[in-house]
Amino acid sequence: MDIKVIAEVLFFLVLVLLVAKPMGNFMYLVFDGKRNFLSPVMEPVEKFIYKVSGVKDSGQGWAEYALSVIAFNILGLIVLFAIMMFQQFLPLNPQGLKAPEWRLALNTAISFVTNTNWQAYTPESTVSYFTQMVGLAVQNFVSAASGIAVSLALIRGLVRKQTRDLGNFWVDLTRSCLYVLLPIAIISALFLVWQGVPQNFSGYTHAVTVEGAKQVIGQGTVASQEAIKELGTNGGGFFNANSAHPYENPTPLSNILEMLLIILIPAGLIFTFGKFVHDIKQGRALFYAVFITFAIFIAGAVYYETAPNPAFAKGAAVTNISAKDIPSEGKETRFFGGASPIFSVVTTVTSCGAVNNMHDSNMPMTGFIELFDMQLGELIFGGVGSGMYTLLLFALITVFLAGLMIGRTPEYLGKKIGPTEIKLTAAASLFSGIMMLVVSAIAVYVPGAAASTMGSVPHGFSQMLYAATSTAGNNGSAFAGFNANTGFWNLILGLNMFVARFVPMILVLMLAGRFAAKNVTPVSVGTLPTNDALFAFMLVMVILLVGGLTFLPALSMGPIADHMALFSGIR
Amino acid sequence: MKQIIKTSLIMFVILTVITGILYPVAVWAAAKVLFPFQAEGSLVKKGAEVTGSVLIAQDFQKPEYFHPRPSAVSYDAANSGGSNIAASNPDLAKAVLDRADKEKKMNPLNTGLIPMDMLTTSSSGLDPEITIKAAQWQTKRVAAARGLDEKTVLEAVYKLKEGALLGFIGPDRVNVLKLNLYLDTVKAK
Repeated sequence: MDIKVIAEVLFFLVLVLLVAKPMGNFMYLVFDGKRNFLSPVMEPVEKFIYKVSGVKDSGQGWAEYALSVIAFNILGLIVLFAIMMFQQFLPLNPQGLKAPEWRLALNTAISFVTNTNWQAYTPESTVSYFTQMVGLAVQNFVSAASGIAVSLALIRGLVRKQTRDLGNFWVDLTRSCLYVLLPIAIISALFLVWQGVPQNFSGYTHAVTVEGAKQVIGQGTVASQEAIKELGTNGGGFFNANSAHPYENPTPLSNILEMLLIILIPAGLIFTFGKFVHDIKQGRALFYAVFITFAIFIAGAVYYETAPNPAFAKGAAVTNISAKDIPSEGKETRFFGGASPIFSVVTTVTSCGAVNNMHDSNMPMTGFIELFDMQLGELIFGGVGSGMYTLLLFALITVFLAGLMIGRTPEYLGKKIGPTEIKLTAAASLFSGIMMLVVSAIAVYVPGAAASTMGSVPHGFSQMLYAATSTAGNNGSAFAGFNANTGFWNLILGLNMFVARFVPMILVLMLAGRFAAKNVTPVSVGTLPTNDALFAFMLVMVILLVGGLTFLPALSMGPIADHMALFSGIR
Repeated sequence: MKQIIKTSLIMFVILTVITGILYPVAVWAAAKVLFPFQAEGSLVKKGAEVTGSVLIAQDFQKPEYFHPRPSAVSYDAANSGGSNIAASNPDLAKAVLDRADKEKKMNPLNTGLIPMDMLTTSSSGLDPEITIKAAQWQTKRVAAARGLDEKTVLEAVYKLKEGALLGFIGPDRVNVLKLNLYLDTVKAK
């Protein structure tokens, strides 16, 4: 690794440290209903929305909160599916694109509603501008807001005592959109346009190149889509090449902004949590646990992506190729160095799924890191909101395990963790992981499913594992050599995204309801402190242990075997 | 339950109007005023005809032009993407060697090492830039084909070079379309 790349990594990590806390403090003001600098502009809009939709700022119990989340998301699913199926009759379709095959449309609708944004389709030739804006981008906002809302409900459950009240979903949804997502998206979108990202309603450009060939260039409302796609950790590209496309991510500077946008809310929410529980050290302990793990993953990915691919050494003996260069297949010139692997880690730990280089062409051990990032449960920052509640689930498990070791009743933030709570916690935190393995296993046995893979056996297995992992983790990135657009894969991966999003959400809300009903036990000498470095260390160990035990067998058949074969020269 | 469904519907409509219509239109309007060139796709025009976009690679085959990196999608800017071929796949090593042969035939004057980025496809298939090393590798050929001396062409490359952001983010690189359009304005001495 050369010194420039190390500087690049450190620079990005410092930026994350700089933005996380102020963002967290701001979100606390918003979600606790306090006045903030946006109130003069947004409060009238907010009041208007509540008035028209008949929302009263009254608390909801867990069941009502959950029903609101589900009803709103199912409605979104139906509308998005309908928009895609009828796009040829709708406006803003200069390319005259027809309805996609229904299973592809269903898969896509589920993927945007669940904040996954799995791209089984090629956007340029599948979805109209109208579908992009009014269909997909709306879900980019509201699916992110739904995630934030559920995390707030869990936090309130931990803070409040002897109540049913977890807050109001409609209020949390509205505030997320108006105060957090929309203002940041507008500013970032304009920043991106400045850097070169298009924002127009023109049809595709027909160019005659310098050498006289014809070239058709896709256009559209790219900047507005790009900004919210990163900020909401959605990740569905306006173009097929996603954030590797020069129109989505034209410069090293736009790339830094996009990475920061991805991490901004998930990192900030951890500090928001600290403010909510009136002990910022609680937030800080969780933040550093996550941040250090994140830094280690980045170091690993950067290491493997800046060392030469040994496959070219043999070629260099017969011809004059510069085999010591970094592996550049599937990378953009402007993102050589740290920019590609840092982005890969950022996008896989956060459940974003945008890519600025092709993960399928990465070195096998980078693929390992990407897979493992997702398999840990999307909690190393994690998705917007979903990362926060999953992280809290693991904090609960850590407290429980520590309690077993020292022989005391486990409690977190003064709330006793009883048998029912720990069962709910375990079910919610393990559900996605189980789906990752089950779906991979089914795919291995279903005749014909493996035809979608490309390349030799270990890598082909990695591709299937990646597809199952990415969809159950609601990530959305892919080993894209894998052909996901078949009837079988569209349906099974669609189902996977759906259950892995909503089952944990409902369990988390049940858990929140149970915690809210409890009283708070005062701190005593027997209380395990959960706001210090020791707890942060234990939390990291628990996260790595659970993830490692669950996934190392599968990973050793995929990327690890692939790595060993490549570096030992076995063909 | 009825109330929840009703609220869902109204909320959904309002948020769709705000985030799905007002938001992109507001960004579009502001971008049109502030950054009209970028908003329309950074297009280069010759008269009324569009020659391409400075952000989108186009195919150059003639020896007097610098060539962009190989593209897995034949520079189709309405269908972007990479090869997605695995690092461990023997087909990748083979493709690299095939491209190396072509590069050598194209640049017979050059005996140095061929930079890897000229032998691998980018992730979008539309990478508009090449590294300075890749430009240096092609300089002899371009100069000979244009009847220019090598120094003049190299000067053009350095003139249009884009350095690393803050001195350490990204490689030294050059935009192929800009470079070729510039060279077309340089006359042989």
